[in-house]
Amino acid sequence: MIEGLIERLLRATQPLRAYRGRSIALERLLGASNSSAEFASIQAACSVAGVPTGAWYHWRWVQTLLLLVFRHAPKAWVMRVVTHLDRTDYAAIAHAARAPGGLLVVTPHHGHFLLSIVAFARRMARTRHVSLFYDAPQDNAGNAMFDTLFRKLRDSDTRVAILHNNRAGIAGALKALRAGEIVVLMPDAYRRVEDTFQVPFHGRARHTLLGMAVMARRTGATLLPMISRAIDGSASFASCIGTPIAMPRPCGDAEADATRDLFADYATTVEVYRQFEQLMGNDLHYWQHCRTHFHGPPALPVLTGDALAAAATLFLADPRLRVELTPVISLDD
Amino acid sequence: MEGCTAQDLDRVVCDALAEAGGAVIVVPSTAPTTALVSRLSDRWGVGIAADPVAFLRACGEGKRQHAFVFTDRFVSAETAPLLVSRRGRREFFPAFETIAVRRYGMTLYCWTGADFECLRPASADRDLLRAIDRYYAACERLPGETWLMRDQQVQRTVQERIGQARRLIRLYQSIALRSGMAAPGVESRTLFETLSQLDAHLPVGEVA
Repeated sequence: MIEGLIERLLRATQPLRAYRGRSIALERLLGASNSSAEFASIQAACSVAGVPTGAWYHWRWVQTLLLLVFRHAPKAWVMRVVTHLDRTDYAAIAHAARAPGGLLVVTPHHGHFLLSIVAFARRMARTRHVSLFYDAPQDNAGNAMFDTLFRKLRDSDTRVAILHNNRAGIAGALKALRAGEIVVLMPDAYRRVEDTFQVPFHGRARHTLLGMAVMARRTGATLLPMISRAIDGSASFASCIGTPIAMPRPCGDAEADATRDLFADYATTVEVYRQFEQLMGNDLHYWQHCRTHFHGPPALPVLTGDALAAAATLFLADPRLRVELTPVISLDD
Repeated sequence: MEGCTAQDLDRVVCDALAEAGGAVIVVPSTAPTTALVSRLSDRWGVGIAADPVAFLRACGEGKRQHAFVFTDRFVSAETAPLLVSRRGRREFFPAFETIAVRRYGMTLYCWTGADFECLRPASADRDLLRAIDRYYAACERLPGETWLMRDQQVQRTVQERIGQARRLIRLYQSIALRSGMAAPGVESRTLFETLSQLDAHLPVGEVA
């Protein structure tokens, strides 16, 4: 009955998708107040997708409604509805998941990513242990909803575990991958921009951590990019996977080379984002970070030979890279 | 209160113009003060020291100048390099006013809320910086958004400077990594490692 009500509510609000313009009142109602720069970024995303800004508003409404219902609904009902909405072709996923060793599934905050993760984890947990890795709600308030939904999943399936992004959680994820299990994480989020590197993404640069690549390299796990596609902007979704990225066997301490590893991790991360871009296609308005992407950093230059040498001279002479805390001039008597 | 009053500013400009060695008049960035400064600048031919390096270079060439300066706009690592501690807080202050007074013999008229303080070329460095400190305090007391540069002052904090250094190092490292992917070679690796060394030398866990 509630499923029918949700579908009717979503169908009744379909005309919103044709709305062209901005509604601050609607943004407030949807808990998504934007700055001018954020709205301009949403407009740019909608322009890439070839849809009016109303499509973004409607998308927020779909998400808000589903999350509200799922937060309060009993877990058995939530699991049933997620299965009902899932249009994923699991044959392709099962084939990719057959790779030997651990499987690190990486998925951005795109489409119905939460529902995709829940559906994927339930399906995979039939044969393997699955861990969901994300920031604890106390470290990232925005993850409270993830936590509520994922706990419902964990409580309904003993082969699903939750690992929070902290020292114990990272150790748990590495252990799980080494044991040939599946770990799912969302790499397009970070806590401190200072910890990130920039990779090419949809015509600009995207701040991202290299953690997923480090995890895969250290454990020899296969990385599998996955995207949640919202079907016609409705509550239905399909999880689509990219090409598995196999890692070379981890080398011993005697061969350790931190810089070489970092270059390798960066290249892996660039490949993951390239696949995300391909899988997302033009549907950028379904991506949670479309609010900031188009006023984020511009595309990274690729410099070679003399240009790189000249840039290196400039970079290393930049006074902002050196923060001297001495001498200190005291003005206290 | 929205910054300097027209009468105070008028009087200070007259006093400053009488200084044979030149003078700088430190004012806050508020809309009314900016309008007043613009008017007085036209009327009296007093400049605005928007580019501190160019201004001081002209001083070095023997040119005696009288100018307004919006000190609260000097927030970057280049324009605010002096680390100052007072009342348990550490922040970066600009060097412009101290150099103008101490090296080039100019007089400093510094707005500190109720009035302008006058500091002569013989003033000690610390006295000049204390006047700037009182200027910042007066700016902070301005109501709400009256002080146009309020949000920018975070750039003078130790934490923000370290954060900015880290962000820039990561940006330059990203360029090295990306360039190294396109054309693997020793140059990108060397640049990356040199930047890593700079990162390692940044203060850790600093609280402003």
